[in-house]
Amino acid sequence: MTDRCLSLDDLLVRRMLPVDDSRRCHLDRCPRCQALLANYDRFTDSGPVPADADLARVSAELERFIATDVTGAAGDDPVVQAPQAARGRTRRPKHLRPWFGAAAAAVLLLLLVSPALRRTPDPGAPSDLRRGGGTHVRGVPTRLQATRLASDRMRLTWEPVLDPSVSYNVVFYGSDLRELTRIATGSLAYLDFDPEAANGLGQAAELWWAVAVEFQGDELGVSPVQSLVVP
Amino acid sequence: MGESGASDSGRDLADLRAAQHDPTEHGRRQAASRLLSRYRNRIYLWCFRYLGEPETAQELTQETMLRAYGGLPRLAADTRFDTWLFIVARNVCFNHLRRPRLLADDSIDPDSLLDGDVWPDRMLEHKQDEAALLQLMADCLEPLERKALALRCFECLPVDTITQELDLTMVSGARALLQRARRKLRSALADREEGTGS
Repeated sequence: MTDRCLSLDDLLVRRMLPVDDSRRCHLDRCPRCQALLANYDRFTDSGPVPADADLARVSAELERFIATDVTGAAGDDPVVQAPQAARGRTRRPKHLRPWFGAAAAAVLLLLLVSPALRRTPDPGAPSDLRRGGGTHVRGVPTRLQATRLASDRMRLTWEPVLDPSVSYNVVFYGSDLRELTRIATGSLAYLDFDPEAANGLGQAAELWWAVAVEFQGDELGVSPVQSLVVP
Repeated sequence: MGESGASDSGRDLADLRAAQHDPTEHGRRQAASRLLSRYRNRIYLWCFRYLGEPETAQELTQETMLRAYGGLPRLAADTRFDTWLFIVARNVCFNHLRRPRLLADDSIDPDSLLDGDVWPDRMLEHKQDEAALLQLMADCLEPLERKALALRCFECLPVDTITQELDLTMVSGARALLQRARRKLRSALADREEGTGS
């Protein structure tokens, strides 16, 4: 991999550029990026299916596997559940009646108390919290960028949230978006790091990263993840 | 096959949104099922062509599905789902296979290795060396040799698949091409080593 290797999405965009466009330069020269694109093309190729692949059988098994073992969607089929729920509603009122008064009282209490709670925020909390919610929208860093420094080190930067009292954690994920490790930067809105030396990242060449915002140990929000091609 | 094409990116986006944000658990699961099901055949066939074994290909497809489902909640809304899923599947297959060494793949060129000649094996251990090697590949190999070697060493494609991929008609297929590319590369590396006096 060279220092200018690109993510697959970037490669696909650049491949569409005219042949003489300078932004194609890396794509036209880098064997690794060309090989990645060629392999992706095989993924999208709808050519003839090999007979020994036994696609019909495997496809049916995979469909079942997804519904039962992956998403579990097969277990909550609304066609099966809806009539049960409907029957439940018609049968339950008598049993629920003793609880109904208590539940209604709890809801009423909640409605009365919640405006009061909203009016008394923690004075030390970040402004996003003090505004009363919306932290996941207003309180996450934006404009995440990765640039390469000398000696294979990288700098990750982001647009900080407005409140200076928060701290940041850079969270690294594998390609399947499972968290690998996180590195705290305190109040700094950047991180310089060596991908090879960073604990937990191993030799991964393709990473994803995001920035989590914390206030007094509570995570307020996480930015959208970005892909990161490690030099 | 009922598989997704480029025109299905709109459906992917809608299902990804629903898989992440549908107000009901049922809705999220259904959307994730639709999303993954759309690509099940394509992933399986890619794994099958990659590995040549239906059972292993099916297992790795299942692992890809599980990993993808685990990552869905974190996937940014503007991410292209098909490229991300491809990368997940590719990594699952990479982890399954031991990565062939760039210059010393025993299955291809067993006789050409010199006893005690360990330096080519070290090449991929250091990324700086790897970058230098890529440069050397670009400089000293013909485009077809470069493509074959990169597909073999970076994308781990089987030799037979590379033969098909490159439409090679000669009897020896990609095997001879890879041997020639390695020979050239070794020679260029040796020249470079002499030039630097190491």
